[in-house]
Amino acid sequence: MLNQRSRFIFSALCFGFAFLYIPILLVIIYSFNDSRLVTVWGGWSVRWYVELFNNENVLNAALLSFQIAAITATFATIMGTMAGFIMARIKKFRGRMLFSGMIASPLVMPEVITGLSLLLLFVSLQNSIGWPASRGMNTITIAHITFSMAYVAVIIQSRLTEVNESLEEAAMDLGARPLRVLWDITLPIIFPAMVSGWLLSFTLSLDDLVIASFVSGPGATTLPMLIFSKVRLGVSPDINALATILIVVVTLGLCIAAWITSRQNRSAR
Amino acid sequence: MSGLLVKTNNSIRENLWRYFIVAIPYIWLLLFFLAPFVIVFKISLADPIIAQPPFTPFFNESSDGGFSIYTTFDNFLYLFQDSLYFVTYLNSVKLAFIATLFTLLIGYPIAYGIARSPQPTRNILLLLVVIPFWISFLLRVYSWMGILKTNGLINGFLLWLGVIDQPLELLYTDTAVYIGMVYSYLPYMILPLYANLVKLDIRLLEAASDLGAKKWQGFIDVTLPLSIPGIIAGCLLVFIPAIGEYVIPALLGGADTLMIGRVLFDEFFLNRDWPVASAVAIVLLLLLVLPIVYFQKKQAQETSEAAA
Amino acid sequence: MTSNEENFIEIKGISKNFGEVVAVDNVDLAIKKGELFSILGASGSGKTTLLRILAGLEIPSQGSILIDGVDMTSMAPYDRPVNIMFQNYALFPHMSVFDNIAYGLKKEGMDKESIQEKVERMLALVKLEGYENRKPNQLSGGQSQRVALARSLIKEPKVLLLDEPMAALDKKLRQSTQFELMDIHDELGITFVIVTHDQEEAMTLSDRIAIMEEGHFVQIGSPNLIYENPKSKFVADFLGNINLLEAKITEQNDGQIVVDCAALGGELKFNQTEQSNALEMTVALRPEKVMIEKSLPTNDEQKHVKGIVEDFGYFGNLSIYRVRTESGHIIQVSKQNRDRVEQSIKWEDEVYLSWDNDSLMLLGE
Repeated sequence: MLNQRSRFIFSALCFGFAFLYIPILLVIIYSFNDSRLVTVWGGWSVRWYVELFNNENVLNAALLSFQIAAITATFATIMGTMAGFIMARIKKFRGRMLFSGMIASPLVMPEVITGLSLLLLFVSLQNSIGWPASRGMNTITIAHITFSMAYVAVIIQSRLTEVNESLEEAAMDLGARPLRVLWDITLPIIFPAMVSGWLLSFTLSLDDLVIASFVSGPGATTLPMLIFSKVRLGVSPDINALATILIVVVTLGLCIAAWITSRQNRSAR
Repeated sequence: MSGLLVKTNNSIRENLWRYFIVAIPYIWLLLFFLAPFVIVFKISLADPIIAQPPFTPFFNESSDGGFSIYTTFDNFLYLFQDSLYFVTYLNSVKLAFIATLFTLLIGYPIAYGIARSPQPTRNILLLLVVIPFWISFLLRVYSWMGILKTNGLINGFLLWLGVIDQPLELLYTDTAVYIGMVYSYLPYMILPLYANLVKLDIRLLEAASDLGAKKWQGFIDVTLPLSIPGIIAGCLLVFIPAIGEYVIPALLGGADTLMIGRVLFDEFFLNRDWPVASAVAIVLLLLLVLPIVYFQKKQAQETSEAAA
Repeated sequence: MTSNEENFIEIKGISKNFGEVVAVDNVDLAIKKGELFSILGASGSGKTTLLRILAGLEIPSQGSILIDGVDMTSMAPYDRPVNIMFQNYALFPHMSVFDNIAYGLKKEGMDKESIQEKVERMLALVKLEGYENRKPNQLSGGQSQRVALARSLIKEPKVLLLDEPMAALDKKLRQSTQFELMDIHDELGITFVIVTHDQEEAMTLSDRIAIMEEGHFVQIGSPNLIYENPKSKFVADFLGNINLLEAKITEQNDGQIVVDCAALGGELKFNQTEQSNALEMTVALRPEKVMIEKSLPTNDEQKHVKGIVEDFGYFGNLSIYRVRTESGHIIQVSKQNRDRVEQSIKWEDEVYLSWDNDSLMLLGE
């Protein structure tokens, strides 16, 4: 029996999830619309998918974006793990205040500022030491690593604060040297957090438009940059198809990840 | 200090790896996070020139071999003289504030509903909130273009119902920007609120009702005050990025939707006025310093509480 | 016994500051080889810090530590012949019971067969045969505690440190585990140092107890000695129940102090060589050493006071009475319920309290 309160909660949830999902569902539905006029239904068709896979610009941009995302995610996970470890476990060293400020700030920094400041750095470096000789994949990757590692650091830090430090002390007490402790105890325990960090960095990198627009040079167009330049002029049917592919991939990946974690939790119990 | 940091005679050599671990991210951040800000600050004090790069150098090598420092506050003065910038800053704050308020009003019942759901459902609902968060931001904003445009779904539906006989002007308005912001930032609001509400001890509500509070009174007297930290965290997580937002006003806003991120972007790419763009960035940063510092303090407080 | 066995662990002038806070303040202690030694104190007394200093997890601000004659002060934890069992057990969640227990031996580089054999023997010792493939989150509290114990014993340390070993167990389990721990101690002959806030646990387990307060030891000795001869009001009150009664010094001459204790009906004489400068002292009397009767004690040599039962609590094996004396003081009395009959003394009953003069203790601050 639903009382008044549960009915309110129920309708709030229904409305909330409808609000979150109807626009996404519409994009998926209209990606199969045969008509060029996006909002007029012209029958089912997969012509936009075919067109998409024949569009060399889209494929190149996608390839570039995935390459950048993979490199970013890997380096951001390595350095973000280091930074998270520092924040959680190394309580005193010179310049810790500055470090904690620098690692937390990219999370809240407006993208336009991060992008602008990094571009100005690259330009200045190019003028003074000749590196980077050109802007493109290299500069985008550096920029993405810088803000992604902050996210990884937060994930790792919060995981490590959950882990009782006596675990590491116990290993040391049993004869493991500090580096060994890191390898035997700390890393295995934070490994799932590192995986989430990698996935998050990958997504953030794949998603970024503003920073990439600033630090990219001629010739390097990432997928979001390409999408933006198209949709800026209005709705376009092949972008619907592209969006559908990305949505399906992301949703599948997340559901599989959720399924694996819930299974692990169950078997652990 | 922790035992992990023991500095004994025989372990100084073994602690070398520690310096290594600290040094790598530290140097990276100094180079690619701090140094860029110094440069932005420096360029905001330069004059624009038509050259590559388009600004006057900071150090001038004078004929006698010495250096003189060239700075100008013209760019900042320009920001204050041209009312466009002032209006834009105000408008950004206004848009971000109202969007945050709506996000809270919509997000709170959802977070509350999820927190009160039984266990297996709760995890599924939470996953459903998280999924859009992982789907491209750009594409999520884009998805509203098809709904809001003149011959889009909302107008089509309303026309079909006969509520209106002329399509409404929805896309390229402030309304569209609000919708886009609430939609894009809703997960940022729901997640911290949920994390807070799910911790609420149900016995407190039972105690309140035992002492004679009706259900809604229990909510007002117990749930709401206890969820204030969650509300603050959620609001800051929405408000801070909303102020500097570029994509949403660029895609959904009209030409008159002035937001500071968009002005900075245009100043930089269209006018190629790097010094003014830098000055805009510095002022935007100053605007955000307070909420950011407040947020980080809260965050640090919570982590230290969690550690204790 | 050689001096190394008498002073197997030597703590000399150890201090530890955390910023402004002094956790351990210039402490000296000698622990015998094979002893089961407890450090008892309230939380914040510095007992855990001292234990962590022994383990090498904290470096003392001052002083030195010798174990078996070897200076340990600056030795890293992984090089010390000392192992610790943590309060929350600190079992590695991603390793099986076997791998947890074997961890210390693996770090020594021992060969696989020996490890297998030793772990099996250790599992038998803590009665956990058949559990080697379980993960820590599949164990009960008692089982986790045994795994932690096995893991810290497997390297056969010279000293085993135990931080609140029973704190996470429920009361029934705690008692049986205490005896098992004592058996293991007797079997292995390793020196145990236990940190606890539970006075019962310290009393049951230990050969000797050190009571710690605010970074200092206030008394060190066998449980019996500390219970029966506490040095101070703090110790007397900390260990078990006790009546602390105000008294005024009326006379002091060589070897004798006479005090006036209103609660116990007047003048009391104590043999005491130490002169006291204070005017006020405290007379301490344990509740179980007071006899409570409804009729006047037959032996009229014995001192007694009259009172009224204000409150009583029935605990099954014993009953505790709070008696208000004619002088208006409250004295707590406990009485074994030897006979299987209804309680004979109840609320508002008039009772007589008596005691042996030997049971009285005169304490300073």
